[in-house]
Amino acid sequence: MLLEVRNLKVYFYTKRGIVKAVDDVNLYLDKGEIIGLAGESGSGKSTIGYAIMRLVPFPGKIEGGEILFKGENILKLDEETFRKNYRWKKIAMVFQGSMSGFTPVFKIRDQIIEVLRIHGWTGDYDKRVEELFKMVNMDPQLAEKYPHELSGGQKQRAFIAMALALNPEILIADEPTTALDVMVQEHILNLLKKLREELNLSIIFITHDLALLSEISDRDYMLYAGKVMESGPSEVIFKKPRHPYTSLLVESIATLNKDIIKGIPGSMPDLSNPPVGCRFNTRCPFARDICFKEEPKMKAFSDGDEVACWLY
Amino acid sequence: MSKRNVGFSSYLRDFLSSKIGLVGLIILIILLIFTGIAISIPAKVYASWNNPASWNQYPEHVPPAWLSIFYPNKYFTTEELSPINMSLYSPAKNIFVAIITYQFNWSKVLPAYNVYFIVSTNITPIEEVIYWSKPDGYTLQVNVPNGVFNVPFDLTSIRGDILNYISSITGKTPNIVNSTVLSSALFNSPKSNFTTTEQGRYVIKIEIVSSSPMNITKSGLLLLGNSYGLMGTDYFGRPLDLGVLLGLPNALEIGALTSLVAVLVGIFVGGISGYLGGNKDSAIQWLTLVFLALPALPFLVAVSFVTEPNLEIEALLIAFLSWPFYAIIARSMALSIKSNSFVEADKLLGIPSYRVFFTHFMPRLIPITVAYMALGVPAGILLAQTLAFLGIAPANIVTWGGILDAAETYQAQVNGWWWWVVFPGAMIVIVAIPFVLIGFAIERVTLGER
Amino acid sequence: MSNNGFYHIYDKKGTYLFSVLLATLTILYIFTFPILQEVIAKSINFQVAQFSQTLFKNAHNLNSTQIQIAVEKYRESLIAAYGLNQPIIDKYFIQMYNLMRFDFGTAYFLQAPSGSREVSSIIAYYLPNTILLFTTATIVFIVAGTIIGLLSAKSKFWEKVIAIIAVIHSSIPTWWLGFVLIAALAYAVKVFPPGGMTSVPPPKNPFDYGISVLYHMSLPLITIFIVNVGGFAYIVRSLVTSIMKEDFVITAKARGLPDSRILYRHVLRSASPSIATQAILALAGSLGGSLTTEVVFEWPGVGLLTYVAITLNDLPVILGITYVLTIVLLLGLFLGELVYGLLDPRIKVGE
Repeated sequence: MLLEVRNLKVYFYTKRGIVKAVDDVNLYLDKGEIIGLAGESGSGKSTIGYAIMRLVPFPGKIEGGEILFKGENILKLDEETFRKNYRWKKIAMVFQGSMSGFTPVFKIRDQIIEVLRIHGWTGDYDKRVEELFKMVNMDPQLAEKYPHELSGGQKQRAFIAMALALNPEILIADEPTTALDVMVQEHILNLLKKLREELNLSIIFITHDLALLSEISDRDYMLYAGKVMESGPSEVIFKKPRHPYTSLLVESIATLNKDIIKGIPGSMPDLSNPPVGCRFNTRCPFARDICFKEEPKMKAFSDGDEVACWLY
Repeated sequence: MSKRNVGFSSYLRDFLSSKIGLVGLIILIILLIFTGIAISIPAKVYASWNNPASWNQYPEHVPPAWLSIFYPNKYFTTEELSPINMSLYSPAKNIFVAIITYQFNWSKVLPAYNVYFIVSTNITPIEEVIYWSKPDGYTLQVNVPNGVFNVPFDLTSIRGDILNYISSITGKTPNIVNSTVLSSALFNSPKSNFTTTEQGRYVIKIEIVSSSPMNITKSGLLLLGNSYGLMGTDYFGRPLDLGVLLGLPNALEIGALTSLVAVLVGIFVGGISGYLGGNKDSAIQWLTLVFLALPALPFLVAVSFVTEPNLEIEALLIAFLSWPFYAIIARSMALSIKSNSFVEADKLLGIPSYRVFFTHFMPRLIPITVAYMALGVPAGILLAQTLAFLGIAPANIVTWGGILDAAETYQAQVNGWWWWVVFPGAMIVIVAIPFVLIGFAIERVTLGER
Repeated sequence: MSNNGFYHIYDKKGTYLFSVLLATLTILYIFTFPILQEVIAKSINFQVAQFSQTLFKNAHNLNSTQIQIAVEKYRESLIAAYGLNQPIIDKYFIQMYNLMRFDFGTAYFLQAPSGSREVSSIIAYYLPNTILLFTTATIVFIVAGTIIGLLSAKSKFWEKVIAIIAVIHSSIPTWWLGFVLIAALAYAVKVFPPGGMTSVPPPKNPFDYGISVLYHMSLPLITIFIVNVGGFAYIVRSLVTSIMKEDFVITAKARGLPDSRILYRHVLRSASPSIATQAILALAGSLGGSLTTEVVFEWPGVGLLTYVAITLNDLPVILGITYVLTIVLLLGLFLGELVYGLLDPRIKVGE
């Protein structure tokens, strides 16, 4: 396993209380894999991505668990070591399509070269920038521009280029196609697939849009209210979902209803005061008494699927 | 996300929970109490401030009295003595004599700052003599000039005899003749050339001779202290604590009035400008720029030549120059409100533009309006006091700037009269601070809602 | 950024600001109209008096009636030139035109050390001193304020410092602080000189002269600094904290950049257009606040000049200085916008 996340807990200390955004999550990533982290907004999926990068914003704190990169717990490292040796070098992150990933006042090229230089990369900077741009199917001339001069899709691809600058082993893609139009979405998905093939890049793809995952990921984790409800190979998840939550989500793709938030009636529980028992109990059509009393444990099945549900 | 009550009461709660706002509010309340006290002072006291004669019997340019806590016996306050004895007799036909006797024990290491003799009779005396007996036994005899019969007089009025006395001991007349020098003759020992104070029992007799029967209508002996009050006195003896108190209401009034007008006008103009957009926006922006470009101080000074300012006009003039600042802020806020709100939706619903403006748009500017109304007060107060310092202020009021102007004219900083400089100026700062704190707290509370 | 673009905005912006200047001066004109006429009338009298004196001295071949006529003619020409006998509209145009040419007439009482009674020469003599003191002080507090503002983004300590000095900025009058510091540091403890620009008499040696000026400049500079640094630091801090909330700051950290580099390169550079604009506004506005400070420190600049002119009722000087300061402020606004456009790559200068 390239990356293993064990019992991760990330809590946010707000005025309204302690929000348990990620509450005891386990996942793993093998080399060359693309895994998907799926869920509604607020399910904690992005927070997991930030936790792996050790970038959890204030007032959040990683309160428990381990994140093992090739066996080493990166949560135990001091900030400076992590920054120098892991962040961007081993694990890089691509942010939501709508975010401005680049600093607006510097040219793209200069920012990529800055990343190279800061991390002690030696060699021909200009050539490397050209290489990276070609890798993401972009005209290297565009590197001379300022971020605001590029379109959304171009900016995202340029950012991916910068993410690859140091040859990371893992790329975390947090909603990389949000706010980009459908054509561009396709391009970026294909680009990621290409990168996995050519560079043996391992990718964690975070999204609320299951349809994307059906195209790109090998395995998926379904997150709800800070916990993993179900995880398994993509075919199993999509063809034979076991957890009611997963089924409802998959169904909503089939009915061309991409907006999952409207797809399932009800809303996510208040994470500062999570319900007793299964987190999904208020919205689950199959909820029983026990679902309101005790949390179900993860159960493994022979087809690689794992589910946390009292139905099983 | 849960719905939060974004009402006034929740703002108030947040505000009161912020330490800064609370401190500011407390200070403001204290100031308002003092303002109430100041307003209740009768008008003639205000008028008397500008009449130096009212302050004759106060020691001039002396430091605050509480210095005596740190330097006992070096700083003391005015003592008023009543006679221990008054006798009237007639030694011969048509000659009447009155003798007023005072006695006191002097324990200070410095002479009194000045001595005032209050003697009034119902007729005009022929002669008046003071017999000043010091602890060493020596009695100085001083003849009172008839110009000050029946009028309170101090040592400068009888300086002739005192100066003679001094020169008879030291051999020369002093270069500077002020009350301190004269007093040193009365309180200090001749042996030390009048440098060391004689402590002990002093007896002062005032002998009045007249040709008709007389009654003594007023008698008193004032030994002026070399310190006075909470904040000392200025060149004319005016107590600065009184001056500071008298200046409080008008300072607050100008500050509040200026801020109110400037902020309301500014935010309204800026809000409309942002709301309307397009050419009307550009036109209003242009107008804002025109007023922004006027240099405040020179303009106000130049205008004061044309018209005599009274308090309200001065406030309006200052507001006239200050509103652009708030207009600019309001406009940028208006633009951001416009971009992320239901203004367009309302317009589509057919609600007339001006109604949307007043019911949906302007209310969102209220928090920042209130914040700036608070923050604008110090600016108004500062500018008003600065104008007063330059001599531009409505007549017949007492201003801290005016007090400081006098301090500068009489070279307080050179003479070491630090209390004259520090206290009135500190008041300007003290009055400004609560508004700054309150304004910051309001800003923080309302911005936190975003 | 093509040459074209620059001149284009200069042209468009220039016209715009000129119109503002015109409007501002018109307002000033309206408010001071009665005095202005008086000023001009007295100025004419003065010039006529000078003229007739010169005539009397030098024109030996003219008799007294001829001289009278000549003087009267001269007076009439001046009245026409200054528009005194014209209807208001014409008066306005003529007199505003003169103002634009920096012709403020002659002073009532003051004169420049060079002997000239022209208000413009008087102002030209004293203005550099004000610039020397206030511009230097402004630059110092701008730099310090920027540094402190930046530091406060990362440090709770500096955040608290800013809170305090910002309150100071809003509540202390500069002239009062000057007053107090003079009393304390120039009289009670004789560390600094109590006023003036140089020692009296000024040293002849340029080096010593420079040192003397610097020595006399220190206390006013310190005063201006203390009062203003808090305000600027607060502005910078607000700018910086709002930028710190932007996405690119997180992504910068994500790509392994150290915090110091993010703050001092990425954030600072992003904030620089706004900071630069604020800096220029501060510089342009600094001269306007010179009056009371120069009075307290007896610094021979336009502020003190204004004050003396006030006490002497020398109106031409007062009006002239007001006009000059207005122009400076407008120039500052113009420059401020220009600089913002230049520093922010998202804005094309030609817009």
